[in-house]
Formats: sequence, C-alpha cells, structure tokens
Amino acid sequence: MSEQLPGPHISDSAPIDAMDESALAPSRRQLLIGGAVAASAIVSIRPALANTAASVLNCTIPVPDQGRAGNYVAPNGQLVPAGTAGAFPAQGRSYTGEQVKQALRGGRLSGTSYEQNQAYLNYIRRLQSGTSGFTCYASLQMPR
Amino acid sequence: MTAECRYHQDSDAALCVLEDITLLYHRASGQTHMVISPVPEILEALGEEDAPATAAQLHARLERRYDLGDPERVIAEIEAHLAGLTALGVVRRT
Repeated sequence: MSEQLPGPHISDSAPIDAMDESALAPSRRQLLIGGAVAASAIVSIRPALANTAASVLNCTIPVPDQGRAGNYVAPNGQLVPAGTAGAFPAQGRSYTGEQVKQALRGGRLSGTSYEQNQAYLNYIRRLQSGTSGFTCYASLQMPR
Repeated sequence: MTAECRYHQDSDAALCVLEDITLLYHRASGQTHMVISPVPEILEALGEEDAPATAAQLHARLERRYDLGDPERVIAEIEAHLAGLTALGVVRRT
C-alpha cells in the first residue's frame, strides 16, 4: 500500500513511494536533480515594459510644425522667411521618432540632402516645449 | 568548473509558489522567471543559511530532505543550475 506524495518532482519520474523507507529514517521525497536540465528549468518572462519603447519611436516630429510650414530652415535650425539664401525649404513633413533617432546617430532623414538633413536635425534639436514634436524628441533622449 | 565556487541568493528577489511552478521576480532586472523543480529547492537550500555555499554544501542540505541519487553527478547538476541562476543575476557567485 503505497502513497503518492504531492510535491516537486518531474512528472515523468517513477512514483514517489515514501512508505517503503525504514520507519526509523525520516521519509524523503525523491528529487530528480537531472530531471530538468539546467537550461529548461527556467523560463524567463520578458517585462511588458519592453513594448512601450515601440510606441515612443512611432511618435512623429513635423519639420517645421504645421503653423509655420512654408518657412525655410536655416543650417542652424532656425526658421527663416521663405527664399532666404542658404536656407532649405520645409513643407511640414513629419518624421517618426525612429527615423529621427537614426538620423541623429549619423543617418539621414529620407528625402533630404546632407546639408538639408543637418538643418532639419538642428531644427529638431531646437524644439521647445509647446512646439509640435517637442515631446517626441524629448522622449528620444530618455534612457530606456 | 571549480568545485569551490560559493553562491548566495541575490536578496532582491520575491518568490511566488504555484502548484507546479514557482515564479521568481528579480527586482534588479525587473524580470520574472518561471522555475520548476529542482530550482526552487536549490534556492530554498541556498537560503537556509546566510553564508554563501558551495554546490557540495547545497547537495548536503538537499540530501537531508530528498533522495537525490549519485552524489558526483548530482553535485555537477546543482552546479549547472547555479550557473544558470548566476547568469540571470538571481544568484551571486563569490
């Protein structure tokens, strides 16, 4: 008459049978150390917070903001009247946080020449609170 | 693999025992791990004393409660489990 003990043991092991132990010895449950190899005994759950990074990078930054579309962007990022020599036209095209992040790392915003890209990035770097795109740009700066 | 590595549990972890699995939340990494036997038992044996322990010492503690089998093989397995836990930061090696 044996009794199956509950408790941690690998399911495909032999049934636990503590009643066969000597009455004088404390009963011990079987523990299969090798039953689950080290790699499979632990499954790690990635934190859900990892998904919030994606939403940050999908935010958009318009160059320039809608209210000032039609101005030109000077090389240093300031907005100047249309037609200013040395400045670049800007129609308010929006770039995603991901695109801006790549450009800030040495890439290039799509559809721009090298100098135009630098001008746009300088415009973005000058964004102030209250201007469209500021929050998106600021969130790119936050360590994750 | 040296036999003299000593391990102790990283104090920043919370355990939640469910029926067949144990959830191990490691605050420092923010990660949760689902662990099955014999990992919870090894962690419990680790926690029995404050001082760091070697795999052999853990084996001795576990031997008191469980029927483990061939000691040499089992100690090597315990060491392997500890290495996995160390990689996650749940256990520290000194």
